[in-house]
Amino acid sequence: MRKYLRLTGALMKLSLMSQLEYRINFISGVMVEMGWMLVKLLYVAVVYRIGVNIGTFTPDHIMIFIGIYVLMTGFYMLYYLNFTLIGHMVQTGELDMYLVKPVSLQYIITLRQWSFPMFLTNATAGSILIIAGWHRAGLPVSFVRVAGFLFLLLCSNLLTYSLYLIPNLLSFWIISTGGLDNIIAAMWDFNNMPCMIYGKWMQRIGIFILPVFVITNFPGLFIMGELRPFMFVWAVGAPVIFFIIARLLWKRAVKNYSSASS
Amino acid sequence: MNPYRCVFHMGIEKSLEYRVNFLLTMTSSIFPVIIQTIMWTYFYGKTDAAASTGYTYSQIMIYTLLATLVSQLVSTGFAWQMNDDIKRGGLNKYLVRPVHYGGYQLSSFLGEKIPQLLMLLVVSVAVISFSAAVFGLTLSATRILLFIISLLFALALNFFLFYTVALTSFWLTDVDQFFGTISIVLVVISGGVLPLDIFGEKTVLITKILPFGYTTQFPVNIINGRYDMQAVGVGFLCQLFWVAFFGILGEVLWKKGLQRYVAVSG
Repeated sequence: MRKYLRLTGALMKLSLMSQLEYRINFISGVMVEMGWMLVKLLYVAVVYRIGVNIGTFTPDHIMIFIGIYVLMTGFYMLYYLNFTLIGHMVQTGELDMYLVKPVSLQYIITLRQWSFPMFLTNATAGSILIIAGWHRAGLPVSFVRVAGFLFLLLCSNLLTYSLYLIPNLLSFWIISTGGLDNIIAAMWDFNNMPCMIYGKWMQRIGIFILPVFVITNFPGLFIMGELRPFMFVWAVGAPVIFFIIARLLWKRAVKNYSSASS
Repeated sequence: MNPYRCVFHMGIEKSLEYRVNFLLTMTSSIFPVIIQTIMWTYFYGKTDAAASTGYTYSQIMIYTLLATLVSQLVSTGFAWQMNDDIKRGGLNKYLVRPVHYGGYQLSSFLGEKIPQLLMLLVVSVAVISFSAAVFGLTLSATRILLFIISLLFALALNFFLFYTVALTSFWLTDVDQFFGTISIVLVVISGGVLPLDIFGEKTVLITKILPFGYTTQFPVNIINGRYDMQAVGVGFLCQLFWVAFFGILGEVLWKKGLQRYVAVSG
């Protein structure tokens, strides 16, 4: 475990150094992400403009949900590029080079490159929205709430990693997953709004079958004191279940891989 | 055969070559429409949202259904190609031919958009029929005709706008990400995500003055009945003004840029 933590630190440092080498690119990357941020902030503006309540949640509470969505987008963007490159590595045979490395293949393929410009923009904006919403909604700040919230964010990160790795593994069987990528990315945007605005069946699907709603809604519900015990169990259980599924599929996918290119 | 007509036909062929990609892009753009449809239905059901947005429920729903389609239709992708031509010397092959580079790009762009425009019109007929049945949208042949004309002007406006932006490649070193940022920001400020005039009088004024709203928000608001004929007339004049403005600005930048251009590479 310590070896992987050290390796992650080294890979992060390497990624940051290579990104800072081309500073204009780094700044441009931040600018692109700020453009996307504008889209997300439009939803916050609409909520305040209309002054709508979703159930018992006021616009301030809704801002927390959107803030978590923005923050989680930042975390996902940190390693998202690795997922999109899997198909390319399979097609060109570049994967061969990593098969012989003395580390877990899944680890080195999926957590090799870290993209900081996208992370920084989203993490900063997301944190501001969460803190502002928390303060404006008058929610209590206690050790339990903060620690529980951070723990659930950690669970959400594991769930995001597992849930979004699974469709990318299709690259081992089919040539192009571009269209699929677009659809998966679009599904992520369902978290633009708290899941309570969707119908009951959509909520059930989004919580239990394709648990995208668990990722951004459950940490928010926890700090508002609205996360029921069985939902807390699912918030911890779902990442474990989906990680196991992703791990099994990964092993199956690698077994299916036949070296290409040279 | 007229070279521009030839390029126009090539544009149509190019667009049809990537029809699966186009269909997939359109499919993925359904999701934001679903999200917004649910969101607006919830907001209008729970609050007096019409009072704060200025849009009736049927107007906002038609806007949601059509804005994404119009935004996709007017979108451009040639800025990166132009940057590549300028940076890598690809421009040389156009300079020695008896064609104007801007005219060449415009013909190609319009050719690429024709299949999309036809598809959009088919989808729009379905959406408008659905809106007429479900939201009680009343339509006249005049309004439909005005919508189509405004779409053509919007296409021209967005072309000249991006053509002008793309010509900055003569002066800027690294523009790839810059174009990405501009594209996203323009989608937002053109009303491609949400109508911007829901944010109050000041925003209404800004969207009327600036050119961006005339590429998406204006055509959609013609069809959903938000604008009266006077507003439509003023809007058309503004569209024409901005088309002429960016057309002239593009020509000036092209001439200035060519003076700086150093033919390199192939």
